[in-house]
Amino acid sequence: MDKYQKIEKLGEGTYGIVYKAQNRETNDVVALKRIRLDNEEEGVPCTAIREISLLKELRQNNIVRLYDVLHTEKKLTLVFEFLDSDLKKFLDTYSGDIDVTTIKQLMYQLMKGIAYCHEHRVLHRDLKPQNLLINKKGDLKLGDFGLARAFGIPVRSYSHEVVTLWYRAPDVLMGSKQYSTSIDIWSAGCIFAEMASGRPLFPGSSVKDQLLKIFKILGTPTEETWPGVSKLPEYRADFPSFNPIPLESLIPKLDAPGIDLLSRLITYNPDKRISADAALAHPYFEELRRRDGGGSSQ
Amino acid sequence: MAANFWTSSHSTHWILDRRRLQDAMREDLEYVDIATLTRIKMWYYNRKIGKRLQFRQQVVATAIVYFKRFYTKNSMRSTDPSLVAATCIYLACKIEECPQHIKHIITEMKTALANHGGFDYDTSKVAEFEFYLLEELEFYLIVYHPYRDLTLIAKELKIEESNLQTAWFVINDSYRTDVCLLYAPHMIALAALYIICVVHAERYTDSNNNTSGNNPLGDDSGSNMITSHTHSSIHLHTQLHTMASKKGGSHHHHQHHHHHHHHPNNEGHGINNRNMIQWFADLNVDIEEIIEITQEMLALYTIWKDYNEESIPAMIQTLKRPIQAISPQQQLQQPSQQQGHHHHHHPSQQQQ
Repeated sequence: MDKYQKIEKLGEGTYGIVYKAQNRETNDVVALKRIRLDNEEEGVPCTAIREISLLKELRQNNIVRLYDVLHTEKKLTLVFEFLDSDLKKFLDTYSGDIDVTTIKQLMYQLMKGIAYCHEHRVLHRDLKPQNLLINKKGDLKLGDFGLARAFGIPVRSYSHEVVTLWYRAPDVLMGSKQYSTSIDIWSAGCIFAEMASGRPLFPGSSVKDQLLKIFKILGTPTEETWPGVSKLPEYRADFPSFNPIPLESLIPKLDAPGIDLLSRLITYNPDKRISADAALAHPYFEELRRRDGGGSSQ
Repeated sequence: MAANFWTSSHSTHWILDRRRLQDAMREDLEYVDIATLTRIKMWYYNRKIGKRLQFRQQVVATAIVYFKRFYTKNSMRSTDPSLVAATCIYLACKIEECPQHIKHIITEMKTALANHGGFDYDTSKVAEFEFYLLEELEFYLIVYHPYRDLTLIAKELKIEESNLQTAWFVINDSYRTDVCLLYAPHMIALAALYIICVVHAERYTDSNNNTSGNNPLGDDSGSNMITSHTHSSIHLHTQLHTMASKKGGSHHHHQHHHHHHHHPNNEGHGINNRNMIQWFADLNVDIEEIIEITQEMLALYTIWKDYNEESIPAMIQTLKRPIQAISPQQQLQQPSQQQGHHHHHHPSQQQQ
């Protein structure tokens, strides 16, 4: 019955403990996410149900694979593909010393994973370095879909508290209820800057502070720079006024195409924010695209 | 996720064939006949509970699909449909992002079933059953519905609002049949449009003509509009068939989505019957399937005419009654109920 031998505890996810384990038959190393079901009041947690249902539909190299769902007495175990590390640990280890090629490769994979999700009408909603799994080969995969949702169905509003503050889009911070794929794009931009500088771009401590951190770098948004901003529920006419700082002075490591891509990812107006597909076609990724496409087409 | 239906679990795991559905009914058919079983199922597919809780259409539709999928692997006799129904609704609410407390669902079930045998399960029982349901569904929980396809096609064809509305109702009704287990959602949407714009329009060229009547199943049904048109449909099927086969007959449905089809000839002036038939004939989809779905729907409307909700509880009792207690009278009604069948259909169960 015990198909997997636990090796070590990896951490605690949104809804349960994660273990590294080995399949006794095949010796494959996997990650087990144990969900305890002692909450008889409400059955299987919504987050688990969401993650399972979405990962059952998604299969792509930059999205963590869900191999199996095991059901024992009072536990539900999700069997995931195992990756040694995540982007947070990776960044902590190298603290800003990641070479530009690696940054580009990781970023390309991140955008590919996001593009695949969006193409399948899935929003991740919680992109942050901790949720981006990486291995020694330099593969990057999106993990933790506990907050993700399929956006095929128009709903009035999504739950308000979604993306971790630092990676949360300004439209969401200002109470917009119509957000869509653009929220994942903003998060990707923040992650991009963090990889290149070694520090979080907007490390806010509250919603208010988060907005201020954004304003101090991108400038306080106005109706000219972001049409419609003043109609957002949490917009205040008396937001402190800041001028934008050039991104290249902040993140000297990025070349001109890199800075251009970053500015398109963290564009204020969600309608003008670049799509994942367009980002993949951006000049910044040109050399990777050539390598990518060379084998498959033409 | 509509853009990728073909790679979805719905498409790859949960489009079944008729034989599988027939196999699934075998055990139940030893106790009641097919007409009774159909009526019992129809009763459980009604949207009363969904309506009470004011759920979106989508939630109820997803719950019904779970219910149907569950009973392709289980018999109604061996698993209480009221527990299955409650759990399906509960799970559908989680998936469609409108979670409800189990207690709330249970309260509503108790009210809805007050005069129909009651609902005797508590919170822990429903929570426990959710687990079993998830396993039976193989954790494939994302369901595609025809509503989205209908909206897209209607926009492309500039379908009148009233026709779109009725087609929507026809899709609602389709959840009382097994078409959602047998056909892709866009095929069901096409069939609904076919029923409205071709079958229905054939009899009433004025499509705004609102027929009204007594509908035992509530106001959101297409049955009022459709029931009397069964006869005209045969003629239309033939016509459609002839037109479709004229163009060379390469109708492979498996790789083509409906986005590639032509606009009807008359732009802007609404649609007329002849153009619609031509439009359907030109579709790059399997016309046979549209006809099958249409026939399934028209058959449903025929059953509906003499559907009497009051008689259902007794039918359910018959289904659940212990084998010994079946009266000779009921045995007469079911000629297939012979001793030999029991052993034949379920050898493993009999041996236990």
